[in-house]
Order: sequence, then C-alpha cells, then structure tokens
Amino acid sequence: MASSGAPGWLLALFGLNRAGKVLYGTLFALALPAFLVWTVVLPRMRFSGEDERLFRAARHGDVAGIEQSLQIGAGVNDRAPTDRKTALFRAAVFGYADAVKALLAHGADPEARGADGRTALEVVTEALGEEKNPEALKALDAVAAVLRNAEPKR
Amino acid sequence: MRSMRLVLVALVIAALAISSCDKAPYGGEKESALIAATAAHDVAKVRALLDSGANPNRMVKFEEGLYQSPWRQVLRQLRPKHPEDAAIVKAMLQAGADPAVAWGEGQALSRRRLHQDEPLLIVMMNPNADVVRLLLDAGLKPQSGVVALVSAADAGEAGIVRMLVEAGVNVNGANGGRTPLLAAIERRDAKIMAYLEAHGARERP
Repeated sequence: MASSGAPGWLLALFGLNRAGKVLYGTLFALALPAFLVWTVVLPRMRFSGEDERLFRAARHGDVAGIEQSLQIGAGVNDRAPTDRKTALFRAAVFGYADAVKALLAHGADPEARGADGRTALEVVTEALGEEKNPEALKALDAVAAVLRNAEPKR
Repeated sequence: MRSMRLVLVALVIAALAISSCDKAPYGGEKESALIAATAAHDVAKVRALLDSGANPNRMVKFEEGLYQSPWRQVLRQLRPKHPEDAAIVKAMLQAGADPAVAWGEGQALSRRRLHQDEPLLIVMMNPNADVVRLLLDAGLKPQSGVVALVSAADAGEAGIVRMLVEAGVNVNGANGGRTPLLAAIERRDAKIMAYLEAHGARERP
C-alpha cells in the first residue's frame, strides 16, 4: 500500500493509511456523544431555575411573576426542553392576553416555533376551533389579536 | 463431528430452557364458562363461577380461536356503557386475579403472540377511575406508571391522575419525551396542571 506513490497526507485524507484510520475512527467514536450532548444535555442546561419560574408565571398569567423572573435572569426566548416552546406559548394557550403583552414588551419573539413547527398564533388558532367554553373563547380571541398585531423580531 | 454433537446438546438445552420459561397459565372448562359469562357482562354468573373455583388468570381458547384469560377479557371490554364490568373486575381481584399481569393472546401481521399486558395500561385505553382504584387497592405497584399518568393527563382524567400520583408515580417522568405536565398544557387543562405543579412537576423533567 505504501508503495502506491501517493503522498502520506492524501492517503490519510481518504483513510487509506494507519493515520487516516485513526483519524476517522476517532471522529466516528466522538460523533455519537457529541450528538447527544448537543441535542439532549445542552438544551437541558440552558433551561435554568429562573426559566422554570418564568414558565410557571406564564402558565398562570402572573404578570408580576413574569417581570420578576426576567429581572433575576430568565431568558424571555428560552425554550422548554420537552417541546421547544417558549414562555409565550404557555401564556397564550391559557388565554392570558396581559401576560402575552408583557412577554412581547420584554422582547419575546412572536414568530418562535416549537418542536411541532407551529408558532404561538397557530397553536392558539387551533385551540379556538376546539374550545367550547365562551369565557375561554373570549380570552383566546384576545390573545390571538395581540399576537396578530405583534411585530415580528428582526 | 464432536463439535456437531456439542451444538446439538446446546440446542436441546436451549429448547428445554425456553419451554420451562413458558409459564403461561392455561385453564379448562371452568375458565371457558367464566370467560363466556364475562363477555356477556353477567356479574352473578361470574361470581358463582369464581366461587366454584374458576381461576381468572388462566387462558382458554376464545374468540377467533385465540387464547384469552377472563381477567384480560374484562379489562379489554371496559366501556362506559357497561358499568357492571367494574363489579366483575372487583370480584375477580377478590378471587385472586393478578393486578400486575393479564394473560392473553393477540394476532398481529398474521402471527399469534402471547401477551402479558399490564392491567393498568389496558384500562388506560378506556380510562375508568373506578377500576384504577380497584387495581391500586389490590396492591398494584405500577411498572408503567409514567405511561399511565401521561395518558390520564392526555384524557383529562383528574381522578386517575390524583390516584397515580398518590400511589407514588413520578410526576416528572417522561413517556417518549412527553411529560404529564406537557399533556395537561396541550389540553389546556388548568386543574390537572395546578395539581401536577403542586406535586413538583417541572418544565425540565
């Protein structure tokens, strides 16, 4: 093999000599852990205790709680590790227009998409089609209006 | 030749091991009568047969020529329109039905397969709070508690959610990436969500 005449670095590039085999073997062995760290570990680490408080406040439409958790360091566009949605989705699906307004005022991205590829407005529009309770319908309508008027972030 | 003989001996030992592992319980006349009475939702007859010693865990040939235990049959046929089936479940549990395993055979892709299903998961196909209560009272320690908890939250069954959490199922467990909290959020069910939060459910499971 060594007598083929090609330079050593070229053989290594194609994985034909010992150095090349070690190179590609190492890359292959590192690829899986790296993939897992990127898709599983990092998203979990990026979601802090403050984010947990922000999401909880958003689920309950607690505007004071939202502002407080943003002050202590929650990220307004941080995503939940499970469904990759932001706090905006949580406030929106439970029909809290004030909380949605507060999140947008703090820079929440109305165009953010969850793991299912839908925006908050699309999720709320679907919920409007399913909801029977007139009170909840009114609340969801208000949220949809706020989201429609929101300027997309550039 | 010597190695051939060794392989043959190994094969025989493996066959014996596999056949001794097959502890699937099979029944007889009494169980046939029991499963027929169960399918007819006849509570009194079921009680009489159980008193006469029929074993609800044992499989007999039933519909479509597949083996089925009366225990699995009653769990599979639970429907809201037959509330009396909960009474059959209760009678069978008192007569020694296993709250952790229901035996039966199913057919998939024209292949018969023996199932040892967990009763809790069969019940969660048609959620029934009374039956879940009976299973837990019979001493069930749920193996697939998280799966059942997620499907209870999906179905909006607040009573079942409460029972499972009280039975010690992990509220932050995930079934294929879905947590009970996420199921409650997707249903926009504020009651179940608040209950799960009060028991420590988090966005980061």
